[in-house]
Parts: sequence; C-alpha cells; structure tokens
Amino acid sequence: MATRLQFENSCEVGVFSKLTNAYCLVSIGGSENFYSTFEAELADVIPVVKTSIGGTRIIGRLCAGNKNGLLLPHTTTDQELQHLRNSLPDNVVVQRIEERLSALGNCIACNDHVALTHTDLDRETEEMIADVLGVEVFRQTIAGNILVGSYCSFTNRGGLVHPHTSVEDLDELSTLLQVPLVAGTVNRGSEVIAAGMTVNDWTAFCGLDTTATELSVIESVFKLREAQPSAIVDEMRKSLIDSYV
Amino acid sequence: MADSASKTLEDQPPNQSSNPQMDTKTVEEEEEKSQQEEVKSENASKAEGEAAAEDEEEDEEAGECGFCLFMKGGGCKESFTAWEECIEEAEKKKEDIVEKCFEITSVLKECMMAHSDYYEPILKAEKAAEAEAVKELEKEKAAESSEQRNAAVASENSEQHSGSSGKQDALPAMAEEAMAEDAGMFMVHQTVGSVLCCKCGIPMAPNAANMCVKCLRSEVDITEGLQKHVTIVHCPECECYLQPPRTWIKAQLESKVLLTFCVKRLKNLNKVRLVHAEFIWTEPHSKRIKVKLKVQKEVLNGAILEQSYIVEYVQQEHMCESCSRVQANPDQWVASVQLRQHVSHRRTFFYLEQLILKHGAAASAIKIKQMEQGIDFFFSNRSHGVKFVEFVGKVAPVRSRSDKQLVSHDSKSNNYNYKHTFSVEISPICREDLICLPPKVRSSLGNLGPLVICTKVTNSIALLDPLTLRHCFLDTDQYWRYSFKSLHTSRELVEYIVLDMEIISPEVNVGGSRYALADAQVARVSDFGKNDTIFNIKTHLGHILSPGDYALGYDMYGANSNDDELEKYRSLVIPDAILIKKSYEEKRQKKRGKPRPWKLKSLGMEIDDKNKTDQEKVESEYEQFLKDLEENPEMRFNMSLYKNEEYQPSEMASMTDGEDAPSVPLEELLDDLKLRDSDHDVEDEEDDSSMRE
Repeated sequence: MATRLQFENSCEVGVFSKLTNAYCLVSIGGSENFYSTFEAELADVIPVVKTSIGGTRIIGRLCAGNKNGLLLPHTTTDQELQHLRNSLPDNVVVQRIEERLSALGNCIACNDHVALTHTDLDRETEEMIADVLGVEVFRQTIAGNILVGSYCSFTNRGGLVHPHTSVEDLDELSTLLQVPLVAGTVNRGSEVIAAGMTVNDWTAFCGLDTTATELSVIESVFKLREAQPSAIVDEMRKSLIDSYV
Repeated sequence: MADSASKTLEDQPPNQSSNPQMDTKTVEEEEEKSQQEEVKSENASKAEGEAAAEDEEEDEEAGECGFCLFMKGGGCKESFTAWEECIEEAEKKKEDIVEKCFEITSVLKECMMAHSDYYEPILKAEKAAEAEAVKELEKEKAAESSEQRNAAVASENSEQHSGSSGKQDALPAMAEEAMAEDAGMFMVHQTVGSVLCCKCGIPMAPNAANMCVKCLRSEVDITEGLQKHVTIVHCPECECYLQPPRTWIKAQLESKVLLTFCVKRLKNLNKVRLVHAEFIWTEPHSKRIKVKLKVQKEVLNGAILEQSYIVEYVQQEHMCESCSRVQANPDQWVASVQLRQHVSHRRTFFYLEQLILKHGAAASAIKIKQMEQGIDFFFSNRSHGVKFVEFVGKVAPVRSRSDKQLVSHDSKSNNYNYKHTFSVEISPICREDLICLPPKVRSSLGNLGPLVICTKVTNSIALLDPLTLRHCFLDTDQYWRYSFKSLHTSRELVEYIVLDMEIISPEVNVGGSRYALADAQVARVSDFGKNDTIFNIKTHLGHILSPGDYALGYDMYGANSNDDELEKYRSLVIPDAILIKKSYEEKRQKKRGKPRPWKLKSLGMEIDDKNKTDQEKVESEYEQFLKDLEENPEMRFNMSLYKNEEYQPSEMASMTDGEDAPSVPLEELLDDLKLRDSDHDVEDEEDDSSMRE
C-alpha cells in the first residue's frame, strides 16, 4: 500500500529516504515522525536505518541501491560507511565509489535486475554498479532528461516515469526493464518522480501533496494492492511446491 | 488498474501524420473533432505542408501517375511539363527547387488559376496547405515569443487548449527531428503520450502543471488582483475622456482610441500578459463601458494559463476645462479684431465679407459681430487674430494697432493672461469716389489731377484723372502718410442723360481697363424737361456712352463742396459734372424683385440691436453691391458666386430672349456667370454644398 507523508514540511520524501526490498534508509530529522512512519510500515520485515551521507540529509539522492547492495558517493564519511555496514543485513554489499557525479541517486535508477544510468558515468562506476547491485546496466535518458534517477522510479513489478515521456520511449524502456511502465506524476503534478516518492515491491511512500488520482496510478502500476511481503513468499512457495510436485 | 493504465498508452493510435496522402478535407474535418483527436490533427497539420509538397513530387516520380495525368489533362499541359522538367533538372544538379523553379512554378500557378474550374481540387488542397503552413509559422513565432519554451498554454476553450499545449511540447522535438533528418540521421518519431490529470484523473496531454485546464482554473485565478470596476471621467460636451492627471482624449464609443484608453486605465495589468481586448456592447446612455480582456499568466511551474474577464467602466460625467469655460461664458475670446471704415455705407464690408468667405480667413473666429461702421471678429487665440489682420492687410488699405489688456496673472509661474485687441482701420476711400488730392500728394504723383476718381481699391488705391486719363497707384503706406478723404462718395452720384458724345481720342487701355476720352453734352435727369441746363464736359467714358444713355456722375455744378483741399487750388477750374459710370437703372426696372440666378454666401454675423433700425438702408446697399458685382467682372474675380436654386430658368429665358436693347449687357454678364460656374470645379463643389444649405 502507498503511504503519504512529509519530511519536515517537505513533500519530497524520496530525497530524504531510500527504500529497497532489503532495507530502508531514512535521514535524521528534527522530529521522529518521518522515521516512525517507515518504522510502522516496515519494521517487522526489513531494517529501517537512520543515517546521513556525507553529513547531509538528502540521502535518497546521494545513494543508489537494491536488495543486493548499496552504492555510496565518495563524500560518505568512514563513520557513516561503518554505521551502514553494521546496520544493513550481511548479504547487502555496501560500497563507496569514486565517481565524479556524486549524487548517485539522481544518476542511477534501478530495481533488483536492471539499472538505468546517467550517460556520463565512468566505466568503472558502471562496472561497479553491475557488480555490487547485480544488475544489467543501461545508459539511458528519460524524456530528454539525463538524470534518470530523478525522473523515474521503478521496482521489479512496475515503474513510473516522467509525464513527458513519449509513447515510443515508454515502449523502449518497458522493453529494457521488462516491467510495465506508465507516465505519471507525484505530489500534485510534480515531474520529479523519484524525489516525490520512494517505493519497493510491496510498499510506497509518497509526498503528502500526492493526490488520490496519482496515488491510485502509483498503486496500480507498482501492483501494491495485492502485494504484501508475505504475498511474495506465498507466491514463491506456490511455485516451488508446484515445481516440486 | 495497472493494466488499464498501460492500456491507455497502448491505445494511442499510430501517428496519422505519417500518411502523406492525407486529404485536406480530412484536416478540416479533424479540426472539428474532439479534444484528444485534435492533438493528433495538430501533428497531422504540421506534416500537411510538407505532405502537400511531397505529394506532388512523389507522384511525379512514379512516372505517369494519376496526378500527372490529371495535370496534363487540363489546359496547363505545357507549363506543367516545363515545371516537371525544371524539377528533374534541379534534382539532378541538386539545386534548390524552390529558387530555381520559382518562375516556372508561378507561371504554372497562374495557368491553374486561369483554368480554375478544372484544377479546383488541387488549388483547394494547395490553399489549405498554405493556410496551414502560415498558421504553423505564426504559432511557431508565438511559441518563441513566449519565452517559456516548454511552458504549456492552458487556455479557455478546449480547442485553444489542445492547440497550444500539445503543440508547444511538440515543437522543439519537431525542430530537432527535422534537423536530424536533414543531417541524415534516423530519428524515432515521438508521439506525445497522455497522462492522467493529477487532480481529476482524466487523460490529457502532459503539460507543465500536469493538471487539466479545468483543474488548473479551479486552482488559480489569474485575474485575481486585477481591476474589474474602474471609474472614468467623461466630458459630456465634447465626448472626451480624462487621462489623468489632466489630458483629455477625444474618443468615440467602441473606437480603437477608447479601447486603448480603457486598457491603459487598468492597474496591475503588467503582471499578466494581455492578449486580447474587445468591447461588449452597452447602451450609450447606461454610462457603462464593458471591455472583455483576455490575459495570460504563468502559473504552477511554467504553465501559462489564459483567462478572459470583463471590466466594467463607469462613466462619471464631468465637464472638461475648456467646455466648462465655454459653458460659463460662451464669449470667451482672447483676441478681437475690430475692423472699421469711417464711411456712411457698408459696401466695403459686403465686398470684404465675400473675400473672407472665399479665403476662409475667418474660419477660426468664434464670433463675428456686425458693428456700426464695421465688423468685430473674435478669436480664441491671439495668433488667429494676427493671421486675420494680416489677411485684411493684403486685400485692403488698412492701418492697424494692437493693444492688450491684462486679465489675470500668476507671478509665481510667470503666467500672464491677456486680451488682445486689434484695431484695423480701412481707408475711407472707396471705388468710384471722387477725390481732390492734397497738393503734396499731387506733386508727388507728378501733378496728377487734382480731381481724380478712385477706380479700384485693393491693398493699394488706383486713381484715375478723368480729364487726362492719367492714372497711378497709391500703396497703403503712401496713402496713410497723407490719409486724405474723398470729396464725393458714390452715394452722391446723380443721374445724367447723355445728349451728345464726341470722342476726342482713341480707346486706350489704362491700368487694365479701357477708356476713351470724349467731349459730352449731358443734362441732369432731374432737370430733364424742366429747364435747359446742359453741361459740356469731358469724360473718360467715351467708349461706353452714346447719346441717349444714362450715366451716373458727380454734380460739381450744384455741389456745395466744403473741402479744405479744394480750397487750396485757387486757380482750379472745376468741371460742371464728372461722369463715373454708365447707369443701367432703366434696364433693371424690369427684373426688379425677381431673384437673381446666382447668390452669395454670408458670414452669419451677429447684429447689434441698435444697428437693426436701418435694416432697409442695409438692404438697399446690399442690392447696390449686387448690381456692382454684375457690372464689374473685375470685382467678381475674387469671389465665389453660387447658383441660386430658387431661380427659375424660364424667367431667365424670357428675359434673355427679350428684344429690348437695355438688357443686352446684363445678358452677357449672366452668360459670363454661367461660364464661371461650369469652369471652376472647385466652385462647383462649393455650389453643391451651398445648395444643400
């Protein structure tokens, strides 16, 4: 299910949090509200970690990650790196990379299998992404924007892209990612999708300005209604049993 | 739900503009279709210009295609073939088709126009394509001028909305694509998708606010803070509107000027962009003016919203300064010209009146008043008065002086209000006056006279010695240096009958008119049959007088002249009579009381009450003046005579074909007058206007 929330009067919740299927990072805020909302929704499934990156709170825009790993920019301090390594599950690889474009969250959009990246990223970074996150990497633009991490948001089940994306681009991206995509908005018409929301396979957090229409689009394209953490396990079990039998 | 969302996208029909054979009719029809479809037709119409051009070329490449056959089937076969050849050649040499074949194309076009009934379908298609191209060009310009290239215009009605929002996004992409295609690159065509309006959820083309127009409108009102009711000050007298602080603008209702004025009166209008303004009709007496304005403003991250609203202007009636001054005292004048001539008749002023009318010299006068021995002219401006005085100085021997009276002053701003008075005196010497020249003048004119007749008065005075036929001119300065008076004026003329006439010199031309010196034997008409008083005199009218004629002259024999100048000439022999002109009185008897075939305009002077008493005298003088006009073509030279509508031509015929000898000279004059009317076109025009009066 999708939840609407605010971070200290800002609706850009995607900036202050990072949600994957294996962990959730939230920035350290003045009040505990923001953290509690995540905690209430996720605590019994995945770890919710309070952190800063390079001393800033805009962690969602600075790091990129999925259930396999977490990429941190070179601005990350050793302490923060250590804190994250300690807090995240052992199977999540936390890696700090030396990339000129340090806002990794803006430059990389990924799910657990595929990543779209900024066209100007280093080759080393690209390799690192493939290794750490365990994904196939495509250099792409979305509706003419090179900051793919900002203008789209997708999971293993679906994705939301910049509203100006043409039908052809949508088809192409959909083919690349192998998930259904839809052009849409968050936060009452905002085009910066990833800044306005953060999403994983079974839940989404959107800015408080997000309208009911937008929320319904998000829930339907990310298939959040039928999707609960247990549902995946159930589905897997079913198929496992099916294949056993 | 997810399926449905993605389905919306898949449902997007393939781009129709890829079909280059599209009929223009389709475009026209499409324009009438619903909102979403119009987005497509926008794209379609963009390609239409190219499509129409390609249309012909493609067909042509296919050899004897239907198009070529059609073209050659009509009357323009030669020009079409020539055009075809030109295109082929240009393509081979890779030259610019447009430039190279411009002439041939235009010839073909002309030919097609000539055979328009056959080529109508093609002409129609071409025209539609042209119109579309022009429209596109304008839209592109508009898009560039609105600085936000990516900004989408959300406008009032759905048609405009789709037109602008779909287009503005597409335009840069289109341009890019066109450039890339020129460079030989392959470009994927971009179809604008649709997103759901973030508020109401209807599918729409994405715009900057990602909100449909209705929702956007409900969110923001761009006319907020703009004036909807304005009070304007209007002068009911002169239909002027006050442009604060103190300018008055003359404007008709529903005029461009008024619209400009109304729009300028609005405050805060610089915060929005005004795209359209028009009047909504209101009753003139309602004292309300309604203007419908259409404004644009950027709202919500660069989306431009267009909205129209009505401003009501309330007219507050308030007289403007000049009108209120006029209302308070209509005689408000700044300069007055007092034209005077100290003689007992008004002939000169009748003549001057006609001159002034002819030259429009007193057009700026606010009041003209007939006074004792003259006329007063009032002007609202000193310069008008000065101009008028100068005019009078050119047509009459005048001397003038000007005075001013301080009305009010403001010493702080150094403003002084004066009333200027110009006193203009016309010399008392009139035409046909008998003058005894003062000795000094006489000697300065080479011992002329001293008894002379004034034959003509303009800005100089023409004098003629009737006994020697010598003549000379006195200009204004010369006259006013001595400023002599007449001995006898034309009122004192006495009628004589010519008994005998003996010409002593041949006819000579003196100063433009002809005279012949003659010895005459005359008798006063009043004496005729009573006594045998007969005068043997010399006269200059030998050429027109013959025995039995009547003539007017001064009776020096019977006159008891009391003139200082005459006294000075002790040895002067005064002739018994001096004839001035031939008299047509007898011949006029017949048509007395009948209207003339022509008439004169009048200045429309106000008449003082005290002057009204001798109305009869004025009328008789006027009649005399009219007679003078008939007799002297020279006088008519500077005048406009108008046809008299009341005049019955039948009477004229009866009069003119009468065998009575006396009417002959008059008949000539009438002919003359008629000629004048037809000769001068300008006068004819004036004729018409006067006839309507």
